[in-house]
Amino acid sequence: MGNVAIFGLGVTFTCFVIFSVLTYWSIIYGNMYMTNYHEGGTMPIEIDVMRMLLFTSLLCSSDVVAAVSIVNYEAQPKLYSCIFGEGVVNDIVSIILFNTIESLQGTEFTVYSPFTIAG
Amino acid sequence: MGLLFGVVLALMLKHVRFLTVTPIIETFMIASFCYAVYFLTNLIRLPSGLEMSGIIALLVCAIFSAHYTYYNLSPQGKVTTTLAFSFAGEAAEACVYSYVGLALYSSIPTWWSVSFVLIQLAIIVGGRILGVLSTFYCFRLMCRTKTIKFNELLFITYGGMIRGAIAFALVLKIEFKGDEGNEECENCYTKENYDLAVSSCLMLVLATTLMFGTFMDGA
Repeated sequence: MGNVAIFGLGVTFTCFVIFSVLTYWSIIYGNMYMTNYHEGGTMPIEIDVMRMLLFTSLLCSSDVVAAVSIVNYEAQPKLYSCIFGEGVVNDIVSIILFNTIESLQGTEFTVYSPFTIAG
Repeated sequence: MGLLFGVVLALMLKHVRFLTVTPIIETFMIASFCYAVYFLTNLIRLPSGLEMSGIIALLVCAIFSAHYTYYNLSPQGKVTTTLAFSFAGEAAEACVYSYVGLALYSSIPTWWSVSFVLIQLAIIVGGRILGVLSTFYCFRLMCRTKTIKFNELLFITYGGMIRGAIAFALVLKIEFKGDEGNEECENCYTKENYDLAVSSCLMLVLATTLMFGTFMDGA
């Protein structure tokens, strides 16, 4: 029970922070281009911080069904329940995270924004 | 909220015995209670502006039903509810996955970026490993009980790497400028960025499912 809570809540938030920082860093320094596949032509990727947070928050959700197929319940019941519970809580947390950040879309990203999201 | 409804459902099926005669009525009772919990909890708004989340309430109600309500059903009702809900779950899952597959061909976004997809893939794998290990060992520092072995931890890390249908369902919820009804939207995505988000999310779902999903069988 404790493990499921740790992995579901803590790992999702930690992953969200890590994903956001790495994505921000890669957009600033990565010098990436996106391509128009219908007409051709490229333009550099420019996306501001709140939109990027929205994108990274939806990347935090993981797929339970495929993960559960690794272990079978009879052999390792503890590991099975850990993976299954982590996946379920993970999905829910990422949906709630997405809704929270979507409601904050109009605002500028400031020093206080992480606390608004967390609280 | 979910706990309240779960307790009410369990006690009702325990004491009002005429509800547990036909298995169909039992199944319907459980389904409608869980459905009602979701919408009623979403309606609640506390005065401080806090909204309550229906999904958590639904999860709590479902867990409570599985633990307590299940034993109050008739023997036929146990089989019927198990079969009915696993049927519904499988059907919904199949619908979602076929929708992901069809969306790849039906609505091909205009703007793509190969480098963005590759970098996001690397970020997902690296961030997942980093996140799980750092969080687990931070919690290990607080309470020194040995609960999970290191190779089990790697299994958990590996199991969470797949991005499923939920990421794709959420990316379609993003509003963008030029959508029906919000041409004047100030805070939304531009069309190019929305296309980029949808296309890279599709590619990420496909790539992670194919890459990590195929290697999972033997283990």
